[in-house]
Amino acid sequence: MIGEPLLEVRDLSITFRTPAGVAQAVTGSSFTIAPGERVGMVGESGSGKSLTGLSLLGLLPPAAEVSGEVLLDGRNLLATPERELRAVRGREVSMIFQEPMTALDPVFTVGQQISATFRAHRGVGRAEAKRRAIDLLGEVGIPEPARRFREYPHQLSGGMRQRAMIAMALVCEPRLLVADEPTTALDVTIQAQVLELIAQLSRDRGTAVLLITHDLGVVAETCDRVLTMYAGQIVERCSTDDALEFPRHPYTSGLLAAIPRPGVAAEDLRSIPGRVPSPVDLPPGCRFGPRCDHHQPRCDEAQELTEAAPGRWVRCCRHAELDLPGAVEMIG
Amino acid sequence: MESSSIDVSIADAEATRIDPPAARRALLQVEDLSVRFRTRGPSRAVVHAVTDVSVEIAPGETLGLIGESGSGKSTVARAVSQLLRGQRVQVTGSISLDGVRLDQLSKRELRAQRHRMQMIFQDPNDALDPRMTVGQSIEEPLRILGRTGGDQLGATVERALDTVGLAPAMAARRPHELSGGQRQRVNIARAMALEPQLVLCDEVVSALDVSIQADILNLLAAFQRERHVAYLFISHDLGVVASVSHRIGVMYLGRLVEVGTTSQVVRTPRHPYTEALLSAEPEAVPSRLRARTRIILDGDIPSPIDPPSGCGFRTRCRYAQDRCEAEVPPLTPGPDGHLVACHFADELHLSGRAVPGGR
Repeated sequence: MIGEPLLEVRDLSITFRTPAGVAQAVTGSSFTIAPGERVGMVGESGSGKSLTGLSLLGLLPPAAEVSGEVLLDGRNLLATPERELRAVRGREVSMIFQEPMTALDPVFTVGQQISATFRAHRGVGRAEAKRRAIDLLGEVGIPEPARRFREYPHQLSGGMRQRAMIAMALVCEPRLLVADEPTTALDVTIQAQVLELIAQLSRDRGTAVLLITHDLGVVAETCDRVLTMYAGQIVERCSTDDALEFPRHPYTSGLLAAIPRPGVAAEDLRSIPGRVPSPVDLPPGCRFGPRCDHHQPRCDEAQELTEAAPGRWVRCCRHAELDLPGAVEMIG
Repeated sequence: MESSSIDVSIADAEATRIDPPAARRALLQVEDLSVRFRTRGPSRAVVHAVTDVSVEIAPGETLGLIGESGSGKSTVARAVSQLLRGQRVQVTGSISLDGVRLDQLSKRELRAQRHRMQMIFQDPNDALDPRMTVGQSIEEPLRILGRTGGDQLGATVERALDTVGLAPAMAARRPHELSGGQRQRVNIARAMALEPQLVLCDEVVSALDVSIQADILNLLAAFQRERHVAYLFISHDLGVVASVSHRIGVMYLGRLVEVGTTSQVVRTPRHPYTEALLSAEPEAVPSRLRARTRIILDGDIPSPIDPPSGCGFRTRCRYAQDRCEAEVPPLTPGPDGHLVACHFADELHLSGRAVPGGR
């Protein structure tokens, strides 16, 4: 059912020079997203997931050194000049963030911002842009869109601001939406509304979505496939159901055992011992090795992402012999 | 604040030194707590932050409070800890800790009671002074209480660090040298060093990565097992609250709408808001176990400045009827002690989460 990929990321690496040495923020990331597909990228702080998201729009900080390819319909965005990228952003690829005020300007009304984006990319007139913006505010579920069009961001509730930002990201009907923790700051009933909206957009318009989150529950509810990131690497890449039910990487399994859920007492939650390694001082072999219950000497060699089964990729040399618990084992 | 019959019964129990057999005496007793703020600015509007909340916590028990922004759950914790004594805030109702009416104590008297009740917050940075070492931060409250004895204090700090799994060398570090999880451990060590009977935990794991979260929750559970400490545990995260709590209270727009054992609330909710909350909470399970239709609530939580008449939830409730607009539903016990504030609780058949085990 998955057609030609819209986005193909090949061997993406992002590094920074720091006084302490070279920080390897992202190493050798490869993945694809097809039109209409929703892919989750899950990992803890410092795993490199937000930088991966920014790289898809050419928005990495200037100090970042990037290698690899980010192909959108075959065109490498990493080799595209900034002037041309500006036409790509918003029109082809859009991004939404955790905090809508990073994207919304407090001194302009919501309507001005959405219609300005539309006019800049599509060169339509003021009246047409306004009509389109009001339609869109209604489509993302903002009540009384004509009134909200004239309001400033601070006049909206958190959930409505998030919707306004989504409306702005969608105004030019991008083919790829990068959503970085889009619901983390929202209440759970509002989160459900926003996730439903994102899912509906990808279904109705064929928008491809990369959903970056620390919350495996959000991935489970929203995404077809999931990429698990650890210390700058994709350690597992497979369907969401496979990751949840039969994780093949000890880190994915560890995350599932740590999630507090009804029916699991606090004393039975399993934490992952140790800490995420520093990006300037990564273990030479498996980056998760020092924290892994299943560590063996051969884990000290560099680990490749290998295909364990069709569509199922794991960066662990022991994946075939380990029988790791998934979400079902956790809930008994 | 009126003195209720509860105080009399506590005094009786104290005099005879026997607990009533049916109801074990509560460690914390909150009766009819209401909190109102006046906003700044020209409107001088009144915010109804908390309205008529009554809860009890037994020694060694965890009561979880769950709710969204504006539900008043954090305000309850602040009122209990007597942090809300100011000009623009009006607190009514009674708050007793182990029979002592905290709301009637002077600031000086309260200071003498402080060690019995401690508070841990979401942001571990806020609670630690950046200029002090970890050791000094742990020492400070002990010194204020006069629990110092020269060089023995160093040993106390070392022991406190050990209880939260931190090495003695950590005592010399400053907060910025620690990870978020380590800082939260220091806060817990600092609170627990005073051997409190009750700890108020306000979103204590919300800012932490999931593997660190599990660590901190393990730690709090261990303290409860070993020291019989009671928790008032506040979080917006259902999974977190359910994993630590014996009982759960659900708050909406300043009121308690449901209180029951964790299993009652999660499996057989009786309030439509609880049902929606359970349904909205994302579950990290494969799709075959998620065969349910999600309830997506319309609109936002109403403003506590201008709450709806009658039931606060009626504007978003799919079961609302005319009566819900006219009358505030009281929190009423069902046959199994499961409390709910809904006119139609006995008629509705609400769905919960199918969870195995549980507390």
